[in-house]
Amino acid sequence: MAMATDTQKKTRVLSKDVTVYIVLLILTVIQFVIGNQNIGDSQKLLRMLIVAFIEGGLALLFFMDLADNKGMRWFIFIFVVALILGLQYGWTDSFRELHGVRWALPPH
Amino acid sequence: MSEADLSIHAQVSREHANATMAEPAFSIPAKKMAMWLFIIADTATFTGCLFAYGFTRNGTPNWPRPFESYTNAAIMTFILLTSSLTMLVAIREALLGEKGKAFRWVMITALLGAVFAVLHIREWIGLIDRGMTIFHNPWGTPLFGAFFFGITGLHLLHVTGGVIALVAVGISYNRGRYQADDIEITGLYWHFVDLVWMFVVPLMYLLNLSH
Repeated sequence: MAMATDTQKKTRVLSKDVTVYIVLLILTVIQFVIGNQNIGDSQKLLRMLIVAFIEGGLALLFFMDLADNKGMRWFIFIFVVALILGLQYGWTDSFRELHGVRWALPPH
Repeated sequence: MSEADLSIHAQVSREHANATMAEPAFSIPAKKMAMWLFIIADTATFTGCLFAYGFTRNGTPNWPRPFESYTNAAIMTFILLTSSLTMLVAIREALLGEKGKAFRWVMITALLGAVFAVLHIREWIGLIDRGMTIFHNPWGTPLFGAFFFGITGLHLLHVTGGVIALVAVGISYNRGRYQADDIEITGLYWHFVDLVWMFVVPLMYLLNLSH
């Protein structure tokens, strides 16, 4: 049934696409405003990433048509979450480079 | 051949036919699925690169902040985002069977992609003129140049490849060799290139503004 939906979908609703485009433009402006604020790097990064994930989600759902395919939507979601979680292993090395290893530092 | 053998043979044939006529994974046609698998693999590549950049930036105290203005990045973002909309219009026209219109919109998308690439190269030349290379820059750790040129270069490579693909698929579609589905699949790739840029801009540009 879903196959039929995919192949028989012969038109795109342009008004929906334009709306999503305008929302993406607004989100991009918000991202640039956050980037220009004098706040800490970690806060700036967090806020900009939240906006980027919303933008990415909208693009995936409406521009790349994942809103019409529940199975693929879940597949992509689980893959991306697993990928992001899997890549967290590097932060330990990153902070060790910054602060050094406690037992390897010279005594005070 | 006995009647029982014939019955078994018919049953096996029926099962084989059912298997070959089974719905594809996630009800997505094979060509589109191939593009999705490419996008998934490419997502892993870009995510890996951006995480490596994050690890290094976090672990390096004197990280350079060479960007005094975000105007160029904002213009580039606007152009790429607009090219996604023109691609959607091209897909719509292709699905409606408006071959000429679809071809024109695909070419407009390719043109916007080319403008993006030119602006990107112009920005690179400006940074190179200020003394930045892959191995050196006047502001701090040399790793900045490696990451900046590496990640934005990988993205630029995707944009360039996308422009070439759009022109090739657009011309072939106009000549009747490709169908509307092929325009749709190329559009999928183009939207992915746009999606990646949504993460490259905050991490590579906005986080490295000088003020």
